Amino acid sequence: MEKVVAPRVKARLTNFLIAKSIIEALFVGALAVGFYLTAFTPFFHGTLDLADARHVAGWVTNRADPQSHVEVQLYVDGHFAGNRTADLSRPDVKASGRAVDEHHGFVFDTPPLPAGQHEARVYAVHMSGEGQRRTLQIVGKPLVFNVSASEAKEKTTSNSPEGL
Amino acid sequence: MEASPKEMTMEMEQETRETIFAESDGALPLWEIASVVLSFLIAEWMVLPFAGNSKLVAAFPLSLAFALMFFSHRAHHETAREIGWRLDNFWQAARLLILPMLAAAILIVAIGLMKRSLRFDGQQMLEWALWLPLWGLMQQYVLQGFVNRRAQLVFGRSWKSLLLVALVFALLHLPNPWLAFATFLGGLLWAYVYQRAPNLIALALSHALMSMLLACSLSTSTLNSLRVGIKYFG
Repeated sequence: MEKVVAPRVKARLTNFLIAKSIIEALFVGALAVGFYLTAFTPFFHGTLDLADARHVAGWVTNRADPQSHVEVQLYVDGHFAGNRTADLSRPDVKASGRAVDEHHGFVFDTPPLPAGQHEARVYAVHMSGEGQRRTLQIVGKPLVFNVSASEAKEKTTSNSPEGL
Repeated sequence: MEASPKEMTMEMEQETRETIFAESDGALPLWEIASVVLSFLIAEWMVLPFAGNSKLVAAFPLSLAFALMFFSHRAHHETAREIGWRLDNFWQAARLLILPMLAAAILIVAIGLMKRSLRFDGQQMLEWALWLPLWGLMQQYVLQGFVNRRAQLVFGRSWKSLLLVALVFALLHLPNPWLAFATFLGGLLWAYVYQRAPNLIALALSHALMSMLLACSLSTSTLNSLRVGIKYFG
């Protein structure tokens, strides 16, 4: 079945195979980078300003869509504690030139926690892949805070149903 | 006139390259097979998670694979007739196919009856009858017209080349276990028939018929809707 293939033709075929391999490597690389940029957009910008026994607060913007309000989720000690839209007024963020308008702040009520040290993390939620993917990107840096025994008791009492 | 040192070096380099190609005759066809398989694996495994359902993006690695196959056919001076685009040996190929296909069909229907999953939907079968032969033709061209022919360059007409073709076919149907198993057996049969009567049309019709029978006999959950690659998981 085999016909004689001239060495020069074999060399061309080899070059073709090498070129194809390089193009495919670049293609896969481009797919991976494109996926990374789509799923983990680098355009979220914000900080976590405060975390204590009462509130967790900060601000976040999406530089790819500066007027949009970012959805954020709060995790305390690694557990989901709530979600909301970052649309509260933060004139200081606009004044410092970090946002086109002032409505990019968020405040969460800290859930009842036992006395001791805790960690709060706030994540910006990003949808991609025509709504099939949701990724979380941390806003600023996690904040560690202390809850005193009296704050823990106060919070537990205020959250208990009346009469119990 | 004596050749300059530069010309002599170039000639030596050319000779060395030619010696390498002459000594590695088996390596090039295997590389060609690996390259084509890799393109299909990229389309099956990388495009969906990274680029969604974009057929345009998936077409890119497949186009590269087809370009390589076309270029390779030209390099090997293979004609369309040699590859199997012909009708003169259709009945020869059909005769080789008929008995194993009949045995496989009885087995598949028996499994369908035992598992009570046998079903015939006229509308669905009509749709399959329209596109499955074309789909089968494309797959058989890649598998037999290219992979089998390159495998024969390395291993000749032997069990080794049959096994390589069947393994490639099964690999492209992973991680669907039943489909990989069925395509391994189908790959062995079709590769055997192609080596004796290279006719892509007969193989494509056989491929379409067996796929249709498999889809009608086994439950959708068993075959996971014939999904392969990353789609298998979603």
